[in-house]
Amino acid sequence: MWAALTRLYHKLGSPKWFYEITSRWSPWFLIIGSLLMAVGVVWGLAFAPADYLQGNSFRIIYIHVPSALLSQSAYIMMAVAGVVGLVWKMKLSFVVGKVIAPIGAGLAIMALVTGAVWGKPTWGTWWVWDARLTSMLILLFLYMGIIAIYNAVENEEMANKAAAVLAIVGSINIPIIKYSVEWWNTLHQPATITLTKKPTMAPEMFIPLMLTIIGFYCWFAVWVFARTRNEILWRERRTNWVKKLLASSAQGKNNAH
Amino acid sequence: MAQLPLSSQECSTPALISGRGLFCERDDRILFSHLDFDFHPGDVVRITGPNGAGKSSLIRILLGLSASYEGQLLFNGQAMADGLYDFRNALLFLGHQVGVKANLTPEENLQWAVPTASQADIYQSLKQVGLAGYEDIPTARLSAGQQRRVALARLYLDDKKIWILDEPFTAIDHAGVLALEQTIAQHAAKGGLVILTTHHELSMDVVNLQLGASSTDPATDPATTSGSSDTGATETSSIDTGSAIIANQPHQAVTPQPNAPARNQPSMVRMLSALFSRDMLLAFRTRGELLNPLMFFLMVASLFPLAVSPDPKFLATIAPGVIWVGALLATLLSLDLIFKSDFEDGSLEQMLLLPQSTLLFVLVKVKVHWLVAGLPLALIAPLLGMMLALPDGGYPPLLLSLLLGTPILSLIGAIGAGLTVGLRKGGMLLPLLILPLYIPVLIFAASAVQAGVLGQSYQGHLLFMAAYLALTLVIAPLATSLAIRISVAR
Repeated sequence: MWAALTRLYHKLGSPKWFYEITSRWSPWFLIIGSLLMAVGVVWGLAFAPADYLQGNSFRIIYIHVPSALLSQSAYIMMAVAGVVGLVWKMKLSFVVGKVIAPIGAGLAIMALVTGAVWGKPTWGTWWVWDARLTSMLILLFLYMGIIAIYNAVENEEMANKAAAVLAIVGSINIPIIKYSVEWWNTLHQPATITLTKKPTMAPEMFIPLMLTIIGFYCWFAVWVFARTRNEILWRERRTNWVKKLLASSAQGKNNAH
Repeated sequence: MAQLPLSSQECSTPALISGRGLFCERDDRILFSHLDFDFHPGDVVRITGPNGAGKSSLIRILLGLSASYEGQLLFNGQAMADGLYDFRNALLFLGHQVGVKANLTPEENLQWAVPTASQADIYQSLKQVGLAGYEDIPTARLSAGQQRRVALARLYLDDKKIWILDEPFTAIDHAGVLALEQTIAQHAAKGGLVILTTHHELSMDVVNLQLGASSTDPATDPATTSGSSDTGATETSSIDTGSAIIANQPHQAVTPQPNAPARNQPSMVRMLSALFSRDMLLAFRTRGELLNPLMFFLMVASLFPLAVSPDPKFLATIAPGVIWVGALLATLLSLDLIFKSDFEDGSLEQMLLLPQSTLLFVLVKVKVHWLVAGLPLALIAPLLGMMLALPDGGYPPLLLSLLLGTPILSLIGAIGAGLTVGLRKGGMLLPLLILPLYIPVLIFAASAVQAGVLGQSYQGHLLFMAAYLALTLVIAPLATSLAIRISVAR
C-alpha cells in the first residue's frame, strides 16, 4: 500500500508522466462532466419544481452553488499543492497551485455575481452583507493576494514558494474568517434575510444540483490539467520528449494540409 | 570531532566541506554542473570566474541560503542537512552586504554580532582593522571602506573555523588588503578553512575553484584541482605557518588571537536578548519614524467627523469601527520596519545563518515591532475615542481589545512583511496580502467595543481574540521564517 503510494507520488512528480496521463484522462473528464452538466442543467432549469417561496428565481442555484463550492475547495487544493511543493519540493505541485489561482478567483467572482443576480429578486437588492456573500468576497480577496504575488515576484521559484506560504496561511484562516463573519452577521442582522434555508431540499431539486456540482468538478479538472500541461510544455521545452512531441504534432498538421 | 569513517579521503585530513555533482541553473543558463570539490581544514579556497559565472550562487548554496541546486553537499562527511547546526556554529560569513547597521556604532554592531565578546575584545578587534578611535561614531558616518572594516573586525573577534567571504577586498585600501591577506593566511595555518571569492590575486597558496571556464566541460577542472589540493594544502599550511609568525609579531604585545578560541557559543537566551536590545536601540535611534503611523492614526480618525457628520450621537456609533480600522491601516504603514532595513544591509542573511532556530528571532523582531508600533496605538486610542465621542462604557474594551489585537496584527503582518521584503514594490502588495487576514480581529475587536458601549458583556469577544492570538503565535513565526528564507534565497 505504502509502496504503491510512493510510486504514485514519484510518478506524479514526473512532468512527462503527468502530461501523458492527463492527456488520456482529460477527454473522459470532459465527456462525463459535459453529460452531467447537460442533464443537471436541463433537469434543474426545465423540470425541477419551482420553489414555493422564490418561484423560478431559485434555479440560479445550479450555477451559483457549484461555483461557490468549487472556488472554496480550489483554495484548499491550492494550499495542499503549496504544502506538497514546500515540504517535498515537488515542482509540479507548484505549477498546479499556480494554474488553480486564477480559475478559483474566476469561480469566486461567478459565485458573487450569480449571488447578486439571485439577491435582486429575492431580497430586492444586488448586494446584502449576508454572511455567505461576505465570506465569499473575502475569499476573492485572498485569491487576489495570491495572484498579486505571482504578478509582483519576478523570480518564478520565489513566486511559487511565496504564494504557497500565503495560500497555506490563508487556508488556516478561512474557517476562522468564515466563522467570525457568520457570527458577526447574526449579531448585526438577526435572521431577517437568509437564503431559503429548508432542512431538506426536495430530491427533484437536489439531484440535479449534485449533478451540476460533480460536472463542475470534472470541468475544473479538465481546465487545470490543460493549463498544467501548457506550463509543463513551456518548462520542459528543451527536453527531448517535448521536442519530439512538438515535432510529431507539427508533422501531423503538415500532413493535414 | 566525530569523523565518519566512510568519508575516508585519500589524504590525512578529512574534508570539511565537500560537494558532489553540484549542478546549478539560473534563468535557463547552466552556471555549473558536475562540480566536485573537497575543502580541507587549512585550505584557502579561492572561487574565481568571470562576472556572472555563479560565484555568489555557489556561495549561497554552500551557506544553505539557496536550495536551487542539484547534487550533494557534505559537511564532515555527512549530509549538510544533518550537520547544519555544527556547520553554522563554525561559520563566519561576510557577504556583499556585510550586515552592519548604519544607525549603530561599530562597537554596538559588534556587540550584536558577537554577543559574548567583552568591550575590551571589541576595542582590540576594531584597533586591528584600523578603526581605533571610531568605536562610538555612528557607522553611517564612516566611509564605505571603514564600514566594511567594521564587519571585518569579526574575523579577529569571533572564533569560527570556517570563513566564507564574498568579495572581502571590496572598498578596502592597499594596506588593509595586505593585513586581511595575512589574517586569512594565519587562519588557515591554524587549521581554519577560508572560502572566498575575489578577482584579486592572493599572495598565498590557494586552492583555486574555477567557475565558468571557457573549456567545454568546466566540470573536470575543479575536480582535478581539488584532487591536487591534498598536496597543495600541506604546502599551503607550511608556508602560512611562516607568514603567520611574521604576521603575529607586530601584535605580539596584545596577542588577541589566543583568547579568541576560548570563546564559548552564546546561549539562545543571550542571542535573543542581544537581538532585542539591538532592535530596541535601533528603534530609539529612529524614533521619528515611529511617530508617522501614530500621526496617520490620528489623521484618519479625524477625517470621519469632517466627511460624514460631527454629530456626537452619530460619531458614537461609528467610533469603535473607525478606531479599529484606523489601527489596522496604521499597522500596515509600520510593517516595513520589521525586516526592510535588515534585508537591505544584510543583517537578515546573517540572522538566517545563525545556528539557532530562526523562529525565536522572528518572535523577538515581532515583539519589538509590537512594542514600538502596536502598543503606542493602543495607548493613544482613548484620545481618539474622546475625539469621536465614544461613550464611557467603550473605553475598557477598546483598550483591552487593542492590547490583545495589536500583537495579532504584528504577527500576521510579519508574514506579509517577510514575503514582500525583497520586492521593489512590496509596499503596495503588502496590504493586499494582509488585510483579508485581519478581518477576524477587526470583527471581534470592533464588536467588543460596541458591546461595551451598549453595556453588554464583551468577555466572549476578548476570549476569542486571546484564542486567535494563541493560534497566530504558533503559526505566524513559522510562516514568517519560511517567508524570509524565500525572500533571501533569490
